[in-house]
Amino acid sequence: MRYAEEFRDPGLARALVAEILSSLEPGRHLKLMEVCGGHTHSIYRYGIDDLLPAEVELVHGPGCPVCVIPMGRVDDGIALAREHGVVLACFGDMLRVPGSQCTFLDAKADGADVRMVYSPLDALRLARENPEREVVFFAIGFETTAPSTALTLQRAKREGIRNFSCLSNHVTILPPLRALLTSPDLRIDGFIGPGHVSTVIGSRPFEFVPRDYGKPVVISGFEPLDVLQSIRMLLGQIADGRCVVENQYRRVVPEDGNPKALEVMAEVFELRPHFEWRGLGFISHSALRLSDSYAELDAEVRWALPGVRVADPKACQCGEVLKGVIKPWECKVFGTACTPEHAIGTCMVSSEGACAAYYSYGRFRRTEHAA
Amino acid sequence: MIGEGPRCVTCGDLATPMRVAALAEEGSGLALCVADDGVTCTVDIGLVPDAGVGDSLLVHAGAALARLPQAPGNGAS
Repeated sequence: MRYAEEFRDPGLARALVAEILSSLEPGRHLKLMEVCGGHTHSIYRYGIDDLLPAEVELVHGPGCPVCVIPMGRVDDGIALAREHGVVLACFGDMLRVPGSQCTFLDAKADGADVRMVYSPLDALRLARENPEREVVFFAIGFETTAPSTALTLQRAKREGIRNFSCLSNHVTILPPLRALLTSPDLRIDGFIGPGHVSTVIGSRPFEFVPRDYGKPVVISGFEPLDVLQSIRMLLGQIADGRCVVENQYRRVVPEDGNPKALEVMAEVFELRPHFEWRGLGFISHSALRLSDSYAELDAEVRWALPGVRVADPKACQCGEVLKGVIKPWECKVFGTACTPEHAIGTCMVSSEGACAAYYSYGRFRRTEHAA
Repeated sequence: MIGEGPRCVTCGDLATPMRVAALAEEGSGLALCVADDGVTCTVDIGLVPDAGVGDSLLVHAGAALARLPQAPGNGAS
């Protein structure tokens, strides 16, 4: 069983595109936002945007956790490695995210002990294998990733591992979605909802979107047929005058999510009063810190951090990209001063970032179309 | 990175279907899992109670988030 090939069938994709075409209201232009960076990646990787008629425009949302990390938090991580001499463990996508002075990778080249891990469990293993060193896991991610961090912190506490701690940058998806919906410069007709976040929190928490803002939501999987079917379902709702949360990704998304994951997160984390999102500013109750009962594993409690807010570079338009106000190629520095090799903005760093995804898969097709 | 293409560890996009090959010692909450491409890794199965050998799980950042349904005609137990 692959759970992938079945959802990449070209014939079924053509049939879905035909259904999308037939459900369109002539002359009406629709903007649909894919909230999750994983959907952005799939849309470009599989050329889904090329299959869609001009009347359907996909807008990329803020759901890339790497892209929304402000530079000040990167500086905090670098300070831990440089000034406190800790082993800083992080996911590979964080390595090239620019801080105010340098990236984690630059700091590593300069002698800081920065190590790439694939999971929080790997970071805990580093702590076990290096009992004489302090190991700090630089945790990022939405509700998809937070349960894994929480499980690992529970494990560290249970095993009494004293040289392990976590700098939590975990964020939650609903507050930025609400912030986007209240933004006056945004016109969105419907949302392709995040699939794997919803595996954890369920589809029910998205019900405020149709209820309070009158926008339909379809929770979607990540394979091309998933995304196309979700678009068709959104257009179906709009055509029928319906406005609800529908779940295209029923094979892994229950209405109430994963209760055990929610229980583990509730024990280990608590909401921060506010958190800065790159390009979006401060959003209330949008991020997770360790709860008091896990203070001994909280790097923010154990170490003095700079905690300085750093303004984004003026040339960077990641904020407008994250809000869907402009397309990646409309940014002044896209593909010139800002490339995956030398990124100015975080949307170009992460492979899930809208700019990096478009740079990798879309820019040549756009050139061909323009020619 | 696990799986095909350059994908971000932190995004839910990378949640990978994996099959439980073996359970670690009792009470550890860990299992050895294998992906379709043969990649193996240790996975925390604390969020999918009663996961057993042969089960297909959706794995993200070292933790199983859900048990995948069995496809018709598939031999998975």
